[in-house]
Amino acid sequence: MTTTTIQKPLGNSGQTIQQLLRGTDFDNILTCVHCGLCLDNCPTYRELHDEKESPRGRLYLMRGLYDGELDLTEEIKGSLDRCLGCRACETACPSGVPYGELLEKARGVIHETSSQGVIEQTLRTVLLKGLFRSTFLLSTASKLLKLYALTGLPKLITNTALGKFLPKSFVFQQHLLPDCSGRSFKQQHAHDDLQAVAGTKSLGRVGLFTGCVMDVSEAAVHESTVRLLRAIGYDVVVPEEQGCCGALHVHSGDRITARELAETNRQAFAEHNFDLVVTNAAGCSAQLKDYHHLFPKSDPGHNKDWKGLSSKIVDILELLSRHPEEVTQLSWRQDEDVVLYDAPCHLMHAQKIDANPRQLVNSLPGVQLVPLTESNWCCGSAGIYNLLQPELAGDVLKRKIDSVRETLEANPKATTLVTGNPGCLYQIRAGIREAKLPLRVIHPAVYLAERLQG
Amino acid sequence: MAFAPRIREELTQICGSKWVKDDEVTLYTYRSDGLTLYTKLPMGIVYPANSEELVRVVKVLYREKLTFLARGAGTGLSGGAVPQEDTVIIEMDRLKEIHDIDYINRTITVGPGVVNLRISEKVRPNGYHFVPDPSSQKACTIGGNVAENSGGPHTLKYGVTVNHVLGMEVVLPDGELIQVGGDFHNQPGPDLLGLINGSEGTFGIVTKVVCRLTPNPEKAVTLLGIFDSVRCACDAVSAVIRSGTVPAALELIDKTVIYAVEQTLKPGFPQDAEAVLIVELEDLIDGIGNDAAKVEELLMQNGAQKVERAKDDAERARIWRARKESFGAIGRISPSYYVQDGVIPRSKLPEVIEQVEAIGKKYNLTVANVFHAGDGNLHPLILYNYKDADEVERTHHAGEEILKVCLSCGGALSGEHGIGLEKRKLMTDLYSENDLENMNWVRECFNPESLLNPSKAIPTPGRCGESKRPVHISDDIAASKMVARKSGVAV
Repeated sequence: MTTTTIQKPLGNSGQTIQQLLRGTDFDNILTCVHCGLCLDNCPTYRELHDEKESPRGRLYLMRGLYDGELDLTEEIKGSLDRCLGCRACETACPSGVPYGELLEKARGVIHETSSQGVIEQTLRTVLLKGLFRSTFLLSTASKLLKLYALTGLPKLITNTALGKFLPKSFVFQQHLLPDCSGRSFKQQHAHDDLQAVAGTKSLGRVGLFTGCVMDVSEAAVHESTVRLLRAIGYDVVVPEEQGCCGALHVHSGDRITARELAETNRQAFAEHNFDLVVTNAAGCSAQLKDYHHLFPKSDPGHNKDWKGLSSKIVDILELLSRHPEEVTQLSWRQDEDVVLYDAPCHLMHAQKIDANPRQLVNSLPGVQLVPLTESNWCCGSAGIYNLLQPELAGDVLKRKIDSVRETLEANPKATTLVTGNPGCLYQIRAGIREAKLPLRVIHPAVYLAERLQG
Repeated sequence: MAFAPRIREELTQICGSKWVKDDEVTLYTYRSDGLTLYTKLPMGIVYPANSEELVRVVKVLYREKLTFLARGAGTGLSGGAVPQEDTVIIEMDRLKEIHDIDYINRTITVGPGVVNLRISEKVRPNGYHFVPDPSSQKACTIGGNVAENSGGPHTLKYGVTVNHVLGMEVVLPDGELIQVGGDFHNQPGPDLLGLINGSEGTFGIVTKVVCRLTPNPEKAVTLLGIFDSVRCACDAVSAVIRSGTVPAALELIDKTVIYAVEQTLKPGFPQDAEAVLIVELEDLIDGIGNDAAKVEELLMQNGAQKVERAKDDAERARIWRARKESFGAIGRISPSYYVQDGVIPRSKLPEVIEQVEAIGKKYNLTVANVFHAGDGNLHPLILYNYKDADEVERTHHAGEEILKVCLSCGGALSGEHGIGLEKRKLMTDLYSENDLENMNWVRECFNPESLLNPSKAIPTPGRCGESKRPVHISDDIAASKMVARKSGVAV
């Protein structure tokens, strides 16, 4: 076997990369047998045509680090950084390689041992360590963004010639801006009595996970979720002590902050002893289910009751699909509508939930659900990937918008596209606005609530 | 290693700086294909965007007397895309254009980088498919299919790649672009199509392929025979073939592979069975019922415990996914595998399978079996730990011995994966010096200086016995043993 000498090793924490990886339960790297069946499902391989930009190539590099055959270099870090983390490769993989888990662990080790560029460092410090951890800062930012939207400046930039004089990525970010509510949903509703609608058979008591950005924007999503839950017979509680799920931190390698957030959320929900914890963000539910990956045996948090939380996590659409009778008995609008569907990667690939949400929406009176031609492909949002890797994220989004256009041409009656994850919602909405397509993009829970009468 | 600056400059002018790479990390990921037993770093990678760029790249490499090879998805299992010392890899993944679809003449013209399954997906709404369906079809490219003359389960009834390719545009090693075959059958002259299909990327690089489209069958029935002995399953195969019924596919999966696929793909195969036999029949609706009943009866007569019939398309899809992706699923029970591709007369199936098992025992290795039983194309998977030098060595010996058993009963070295790197030295056991010399002469007509994919398929005269083996294997084997332990299968 040829050994490769690579220059420019990054950082040094006293332990080698190999030792650090071995401290993270990384053995599953060995389940990849290099068959390559993942390649044609990888968005970055599709754009870049390069083995090291494919899941197999990235796993091979990780295995090289794990075996001590490779030293960490900027090139290896770059290849791993460019992964969207969509986990479509996991769906394609016949061997069940836990790619997402391995990638996150490798990024954690890299984060520990290496320095980052200035822009990346700033973005990560401001957003991840600051903003997303603080409800106060999030509410403040939401207020400011709401004011900013009221000035009409974003529309001015995107709809007039002004945009032509500004950097493209800045103009695109105007499209990306969420619909900010200016206040925290959990603070607003923490003490509300959100009981099941009178006359329904009680199904139990659930906690609502509100997230970080979603807690202060797109209020309709949480409102609709609560309304649907109460309508079929659940009492809903919104614990105020909860915080960001930490997915963005995990994706960027900051496992220390992620562990803190995991503990915050574990405690926030454990004390209520809910029957279930309901989420409406696929990225968050995927993360909440995987908290145990964050704590290797050597970590004091390893023996805490993570299963207690993860076993209760359920996506709102998945939960509704478990109650077909209750859903059917509700009073739904009867008018005909065609609605397009995009599967969030962290629902379909990370949690293997796909058919149930689609069947649920499709089962509503008058509703025909049409998945996008490339519904199972990533849209390029991937947390804050679209901010860190704008060019590649743009190429991936372009494919998604082509798929939207193609599906819309075949289904010209459609006026709505639904997708159940905030990142995808913002990203696809931005792409659709930029392409000036006649479609609104909303969360499926909002769509369902719209169809619900009474 | 790495391009000379002058050559990099010239290649960059052709393809653009983004598409010429020789950094060590990129090279590392290109050091093997689907066969991981051999690795070698290439000199560099070039990613042409179209056939014009490809021709110009080839001309430069030819002028500079550099060796080079074309690589698609790198799913090959005989090392066909593994570089030799200082070989330049031409990555074909950007040549993905689907040119023309002609439903009247039933053809589709595609670039070599198009993934096999994408062709069938494209034409399925119109009622057609592309027949060759190698198990790697959701990733492997049509260029690679041509190079290896790939098969797949359904080639039992319909034939292999060469039977489904009508024409090609090919770049010869000196950069000359030629047309072979055409848009329809019966082109006059010698059958160059037949010669280039299966030449393992040593005669030329295809830049366009005219593929034949086949109408989808009116009806398909998939049967699953469950056996408590591999021997009975093999006997059943012979019985079906002898009966005159030609199934579209006839596949055998043994207990170890059943265990692996049940860990991940969960097709619902009984885990206490020693073997399952997948028999797929394709026909007109009116004719298929009798055939299916006949096959069911034959399986039962030959010792099947039970025969199940897939009740819908979803169940068929589950069975086929498990069969086609079973090599990959081996990762659940072993960190590496080495797959053989020997072909034997179908009548010898039962005894050869028993000998294969004995070879595994002799070398203290687990050998799993999943193969195209209908055409006697074996795929013994030798499970090994890549970090255990001794086990790697035993794997080589066991592989060689299995192939020698195939040869001794009148079989051949490869059914569809190609000779590639690792089976080259056994070619002398199958062919005389004279045969090999003739093969070399034919190759020299296309590839006179052996610059294109050197050292593959045909042993170089006088050096037939040479082979390269990995030298350094780390002694740290504990972690990879873990995978085996977790799986509960002795590897």
